[in-house]
Amino acid sequence: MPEYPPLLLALAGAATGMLGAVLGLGGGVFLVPLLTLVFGLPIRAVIAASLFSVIATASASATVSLRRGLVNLRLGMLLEVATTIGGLAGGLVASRLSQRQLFLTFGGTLAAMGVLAALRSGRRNVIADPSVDPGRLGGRITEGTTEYVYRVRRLGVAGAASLAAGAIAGLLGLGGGIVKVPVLTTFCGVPIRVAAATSTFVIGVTASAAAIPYLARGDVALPLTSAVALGALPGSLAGAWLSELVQARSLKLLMAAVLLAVGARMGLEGL
Amino acid sequence: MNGAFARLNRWLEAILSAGLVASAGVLLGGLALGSERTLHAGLVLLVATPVARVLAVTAGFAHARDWLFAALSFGVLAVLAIGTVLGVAAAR
Repeated sequence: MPEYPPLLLALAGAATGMLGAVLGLGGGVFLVPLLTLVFGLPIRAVIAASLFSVIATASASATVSLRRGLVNLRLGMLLEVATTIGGLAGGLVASRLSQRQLFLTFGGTLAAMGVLAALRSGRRNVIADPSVDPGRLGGRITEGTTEYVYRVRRLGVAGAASLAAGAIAGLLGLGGGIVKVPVLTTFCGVPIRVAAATSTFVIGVTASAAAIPYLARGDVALPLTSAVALGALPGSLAGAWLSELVQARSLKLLMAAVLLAVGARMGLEGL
Repeated sequence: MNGAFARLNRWLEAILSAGLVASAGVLLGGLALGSERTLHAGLVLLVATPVARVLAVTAGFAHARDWLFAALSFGVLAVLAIGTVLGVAAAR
């Protein structure tokens, strides 16, 4: 395994953490390709390192979105039940997959989510009439001076997506936001800012569930993992603040473009 | 629902921040000293941070007498505990 100075690895963690936080993702979706394709590190060690940086990134950006009141706690806990089960399962079976299978799964997942995000980027999920009852799982958000209401639909879809997101987290070292956010906004009526904030909130626990088997097995490259996770902290905080400045629609389109490009590149590596 | 949980939100924010600051400090120390044991401790702290957050959410829902969601959060804690047990068992 090539050796790199901790500062360089921390910078990689910071850059990918920032980009991830802007998009409401854990950052692993950029970190894993960067460390495997550019740094040439083995994908297994990178997946474990990525899980820890995802915990740092997601927890740091969750502090920001909690303060803004964007996290839907009830919906979050409901999704967490599914993502932790998936995350644990993924973390346990990851050691059985080959390097090639890991690259192909990674590429295929990203490409599929990119297509979904691109197709539905024009939708708005909010109701402008504040007197509408949001129900037990829905909620209210304010954008500027206007208050919007949203209701959560198709919980079964949200649960299934969360289970898949968790499994992907454990297998590929991602938070799973790339699966949950598009599904929550496309099928379940959740506005993108709430979906991103709630997903990030959930991701910290998902990644923990997935990371626990790695840590317990002693299957973690300690200096690599620590440097990357340390860098991800300030990067993701900066990104969470930056995300305030970006338009919801451009956020969705940027996410779609990035997913397609990174997915194609990772898939090629497995062929 | 944002209003009802405003206080819990602040608690969760404080717990996450404290956990991150503590683990970052330990990890920095571990890298500076070149001590793998310290790095391991820092990573354990990092993993424990969201777990502590789930504990707080469970307590928050229970305090609000929202028993369904308190039970769901408790289920998440149970899954995390099972993961630890299975992971340790696999290492043996």
